[in-house]
Amino acid sequence: MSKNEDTMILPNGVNKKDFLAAIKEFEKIVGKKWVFKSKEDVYLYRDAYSPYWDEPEEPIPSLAVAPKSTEEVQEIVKVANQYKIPIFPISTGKNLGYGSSAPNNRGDVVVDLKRMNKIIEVNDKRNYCILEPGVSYFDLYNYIEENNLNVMMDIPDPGWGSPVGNSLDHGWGYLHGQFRDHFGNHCGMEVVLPNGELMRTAMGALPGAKTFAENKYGYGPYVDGLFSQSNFGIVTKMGFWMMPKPEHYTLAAITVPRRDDLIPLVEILNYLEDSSIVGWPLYRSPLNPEYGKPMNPELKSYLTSKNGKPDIEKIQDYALRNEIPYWRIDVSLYGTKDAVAANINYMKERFSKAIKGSKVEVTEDYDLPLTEEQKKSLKHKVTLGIPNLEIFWLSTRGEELGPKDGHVWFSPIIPRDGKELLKCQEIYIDTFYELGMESMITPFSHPRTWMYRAFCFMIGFANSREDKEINEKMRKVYTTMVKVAAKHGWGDYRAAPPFQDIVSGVYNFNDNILKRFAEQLKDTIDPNGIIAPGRGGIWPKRLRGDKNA
Amino acid sequence: MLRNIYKILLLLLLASATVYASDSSKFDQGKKVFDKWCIHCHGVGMPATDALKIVYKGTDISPVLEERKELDADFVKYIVRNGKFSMPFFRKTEINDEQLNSLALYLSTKNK
Ligand SMILES: Cc1cc2nc3c(=O)[nH]c(=O)nc-3n(C[C@H](O)[C@H](O)[C@H](O)COP(=O)(O)OP(=O)(O)OC[C@H]3O[C@@H](n4cnc5c(N)ncnc54)[C@H](O)[C@@H]3O)c2cc1C
Repeated sequence: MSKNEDTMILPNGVNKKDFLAAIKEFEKIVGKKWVFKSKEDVYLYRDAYSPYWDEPEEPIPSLAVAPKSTEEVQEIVKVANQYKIPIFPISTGKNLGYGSSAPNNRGDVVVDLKRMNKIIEVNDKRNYCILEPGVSYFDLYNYIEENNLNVMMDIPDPGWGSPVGNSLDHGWGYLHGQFRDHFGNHCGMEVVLPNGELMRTAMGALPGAKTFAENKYGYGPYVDGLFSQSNFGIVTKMGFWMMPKPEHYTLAAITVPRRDDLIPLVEILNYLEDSSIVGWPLYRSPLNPEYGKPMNPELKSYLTSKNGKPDIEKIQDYALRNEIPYWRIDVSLYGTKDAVAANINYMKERFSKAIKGSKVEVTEDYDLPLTEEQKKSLKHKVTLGIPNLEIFWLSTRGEELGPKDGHVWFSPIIPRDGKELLKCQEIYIDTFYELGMESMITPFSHPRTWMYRAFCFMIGFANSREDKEINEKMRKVYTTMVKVAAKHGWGDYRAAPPFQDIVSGVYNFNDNILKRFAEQLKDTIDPNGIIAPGRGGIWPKRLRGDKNA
Repeated sequence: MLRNIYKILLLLLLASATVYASDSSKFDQGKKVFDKWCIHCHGVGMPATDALKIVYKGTDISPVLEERKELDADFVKYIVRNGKFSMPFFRKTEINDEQLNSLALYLSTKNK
């Protein structure tokens, strides 16, 4: 036996003999080259942002298998069933902050679909695409530009992920509302079920259907939702709706002077967004210093000057005295030049009537197509579907700030309501105070606005690959935050594997009926419990005892 | 005898030309890998370059990887497979060993 086999991580509940036999079969299916079993190769599937880095609980896979076709995926699933091997599918595996390319549990075999990278169709007359899981946002964008197609894809901030992987984890983006919801914006799916059978949903169930990616429902129950944030199958194809490239693009900045102006501001923006007058609204507070720069010491002192908590009156007075707007919202507008100009005028009128001291200013104004120079200088490239990785500024070294190893996202959904946001700030600040920590939230922390009918009030907790204590503390704070948020009716939309049980656990209406329903389904369609055990808080019967009693 | 020497010289010339050709195609492949995977963070004005600007402040080391004179091939390979701070490591389905060798060749020889 080689040294490598001695130190081998085994899949949960599988003995070494069976595992070695299964590896041989996987090698027959995909070829030796595409079965990664050495420690060196398997470790490339670790979660670089793991909250358990280098601890016994860290979910390092036992093996990774990289098929090239749907048929190979089906064969892999059959072998996994035979040996009861837990397998964990990833598409591009760039889920940083929510698990990266690692599985949910130590020992699960990763099925890496990166090699399945066919762009099956992009249609710029009926505005959709059909993709395999390994197609990244960069790949799709390059294909569109090389073929001079008149559509754009709604994308998340990092461009190296995939429409399939991102949408299956309920990811979000930056165009008009309906496109930003990446799962909601998909249309049609092909899935390998846990027994290895191939299923197409909606119109795709009709052999020869011509509208796989155009009509979401087909006939009968809508089952696509079962395959997101869950473990009922491996998705091998998905359709998505795309937005036609607009003729004109304008970026406008709305500023208001007072904290409470947020309340009417949100109401107006909700109207503008839900009427498709504006696209994504980026809420910010200019009171925050530029990234990596220190906060003004006077302002900083007011964050704790009222018995250890913020003095909101003093902060407001500071903003007014220094003529710093309390809130600033960047909004993008799309359409014809005249229509966009008319909408800007309408916005100016509405805000000036409703909020004293508010301003609406155009900051970018372009006819499309953009030149390469214009593309490069765009303030928010994602609002025109141009993939990039610039968002990584938020973890890099700043002038006054060390570099981070990454983030673990805490992402609760709260109502799209100014008053509720201010309340949420207060509750989080109180929670940090009770934990005896410096608050990561201030009275000018802004909401995230990808969800077009709700806010997300997010915190990026720093992880470490050097210091286990930082991770331990972070896990404690994260867990507390989930509970505090749930008490107020706020629940996370997404979570990294170590927190999926606790997050799904607060969605417990009527004695956990939602979870019990999912478990019944799991036991029926995946009786051997092989697909991504524990993903989304759903455990198969054979593992329910130890992890989720 | 002389003819044999010519033959050997010709063979040597041909051999070095193929080595040169394969090195230059490896170099080109390395540039492609860089443009696909690295430039989005390590290009001019990108976040990793901004961060390295702070690290190398006051030295004559360029924060732009493609302008570096002293990059070591093994160092490049190590960073790609081990990550650094928030830069994650890359799997072999993303950058395979051959592509990684080309990338390392490109970055370590470009300005030498
Ligand atoms: C700085 C930063 C900014 C970010 N900004 C955004 C953002 O703006 N919007 C956003 O949505 N996210 C964001 N993220 C989170 C994440 O990086 C992206 O969502 C990314 O696109 C997810 O990775 P992926 O697309 O490679 O999906 P993958 O990692 O391939 O998949 C995600 C998960 O979905 C499941 N899955 C994947 N493929 C399949 C399949 N074929 N069948 C069944 N299940 C499958 C698996 O559980 C997998 O772990 C950000 C992260 C960072 C670090």
